[in-house]
Amino acid sequence: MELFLEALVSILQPHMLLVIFIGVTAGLFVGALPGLTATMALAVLLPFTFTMDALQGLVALGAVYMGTIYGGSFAAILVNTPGTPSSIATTFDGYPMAKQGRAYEAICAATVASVIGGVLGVLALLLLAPPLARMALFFGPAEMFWVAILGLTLIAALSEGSLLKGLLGGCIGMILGTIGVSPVGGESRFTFGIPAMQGGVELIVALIGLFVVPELLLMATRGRAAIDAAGMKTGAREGMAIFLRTARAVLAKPVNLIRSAVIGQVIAIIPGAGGSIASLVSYDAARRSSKRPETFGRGNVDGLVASETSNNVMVAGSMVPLLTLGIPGAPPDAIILGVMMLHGLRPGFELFSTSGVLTNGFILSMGVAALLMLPVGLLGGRVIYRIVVGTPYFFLVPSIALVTILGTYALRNSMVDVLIMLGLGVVGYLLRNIGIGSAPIVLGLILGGIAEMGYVQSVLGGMAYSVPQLRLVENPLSQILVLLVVLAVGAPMVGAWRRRRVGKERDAGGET
Amino acid sequence: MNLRVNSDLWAGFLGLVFAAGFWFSMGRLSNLSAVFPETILLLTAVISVALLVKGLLNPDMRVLFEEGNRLRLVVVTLILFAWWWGIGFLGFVAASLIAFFLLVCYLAAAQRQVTWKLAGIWACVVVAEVAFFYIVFNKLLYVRPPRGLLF
Repeated sequence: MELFLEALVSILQPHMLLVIFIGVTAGLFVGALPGLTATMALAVLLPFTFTMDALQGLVALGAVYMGTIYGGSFAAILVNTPGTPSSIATTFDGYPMAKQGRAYEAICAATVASVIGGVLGVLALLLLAPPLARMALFFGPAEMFWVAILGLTLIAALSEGSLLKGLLGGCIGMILGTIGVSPVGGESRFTFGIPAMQGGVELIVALIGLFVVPELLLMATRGRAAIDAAGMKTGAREGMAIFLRTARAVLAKPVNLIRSAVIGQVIAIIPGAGGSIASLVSYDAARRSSKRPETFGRGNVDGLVASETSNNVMVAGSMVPLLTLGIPGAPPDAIILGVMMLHGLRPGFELFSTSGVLTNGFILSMGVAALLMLPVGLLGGRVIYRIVVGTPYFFLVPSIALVTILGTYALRNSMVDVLIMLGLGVVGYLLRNIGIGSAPIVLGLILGGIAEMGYVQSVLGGMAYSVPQLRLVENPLSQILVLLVVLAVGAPMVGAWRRRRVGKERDAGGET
Repeated sequence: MNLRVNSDLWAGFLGLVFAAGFWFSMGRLSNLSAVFPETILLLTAVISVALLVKGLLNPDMRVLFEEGNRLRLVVVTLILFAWWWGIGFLGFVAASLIAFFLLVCYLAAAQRQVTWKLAGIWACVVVAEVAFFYIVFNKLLYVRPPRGLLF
């Protein structure tokens, strides 16, 4: 307790609060730019932390990380572009809300959900780090395979009208994910003789291509922006009224918040799973438990809240395996691990006692960063919102194109990536015209790689069995996940069958 | 002219072409590398055939490119690809200034009359915006945009 209070005092110093404020603000604007990820933001900040003391450096990194993940929601809501992969599920309902003139409401909901998610993640890290870290050790390749399959059941929800077309989109995404060097065999696949394809299709390149380019083309053909400027004419008082109304609506559904936070926390401790999976699985859970699942994807605020809560829980949540086991849960955590090593800090359970002030201070600073997202986000969000909505469409289209080209190039300094982004965008636009949406393709791309890795590693591990695939269902946790997959697939089918039966009985009753 | 098509047949056909294209370019792979893509490609083929059958029995008819101006769609797509090509040839700054300005003038012409005075003002804004992002990426983020014949 003494260490905790000492850490709290050190974090509440004015210069520390200033570092957190600058970090959150910078992260917010970086996250709002498509293509610039949290990893990139932390990598750029890294040299600046060399001149700082250990706590200040870690606090700066934590604040930028928080701000970037939150900032990703702005691009997702305003231009249908997940600013970071973690905000992919935010686009599903955030952008439709913006198109309905509810952009500021969506930003407010994302802000409230992000703050709550961030604070809950910090609380879980402070109170439950050791047991959560032990839980992470139960997730092996087989469990990861089933987590990916569970995520793929979301395709049914994301299919616009036709399940077959949704499944086809998912398969196309999974195949795109296999381009490049195979994760286990190490052989080149589907490179078509182009050396630059060895690196595969980068997820963010596909995200930008499939989500942004079709929107740009649509705006260009329609001759107007997708978001109506009418909603912008809200004064500060009206804006505050929208915020209070939205905050009440979000807080009125605590189950959605808690469920999304728990899902985000569990996925956060699995190394390699990432915020995109956390937000997708939470979104799916919110849709399945909703009384009006058909409104998801059409501007339902609950979907947006589920996504933003879980991806912000991820930030502090992924620190559990990092601080306790030394395993980075997500790529940005690896940079934080590097800074810790640089200052002679060794991750492990004893980190909380030997460097208690520093460790608790770092964790608490993320809580402060989460709370600061409220004022910074509402003000910054308003500025970004006004810029996007107030810009004439003939400037908005080339401006977004410029940022996406630069953002895509910046990922690997590759113009081939820019070409892939444009190509996927045009193909995505054409496929959208015949009913194959971008969302199932991206879902397949994200989860296909994880499913493949889990499957192949499990089969390799099960070579001693006569049927190596039995390894996939050997552990109790795998069996629970299989049950969840069966429920996820079977429950809607049973529901649809019951509705048809009730409808038939009603019709028969009406006829007699 | 409305381009009304059987979207199920088109989706099934494109799915089969996609699956065949990848299947025949797979080459010789070890079992570990081949098992996942083979499974997914077979699944793609099965779904595509199911879509073809549905297209014949209960087709989903859709109007292609229903919204907006198709000529503008083609021109903007071509400008985007020319922008990519121009970056490699002329360099990021020169290609972006040209492509950005072209897009602004072309898209604005759909809404209003573009005068020389307006074009001059827009040119200044384009220069400022391209310069801003160039400086942010080059000096702040240490991402050097490609250079070509010019800059």
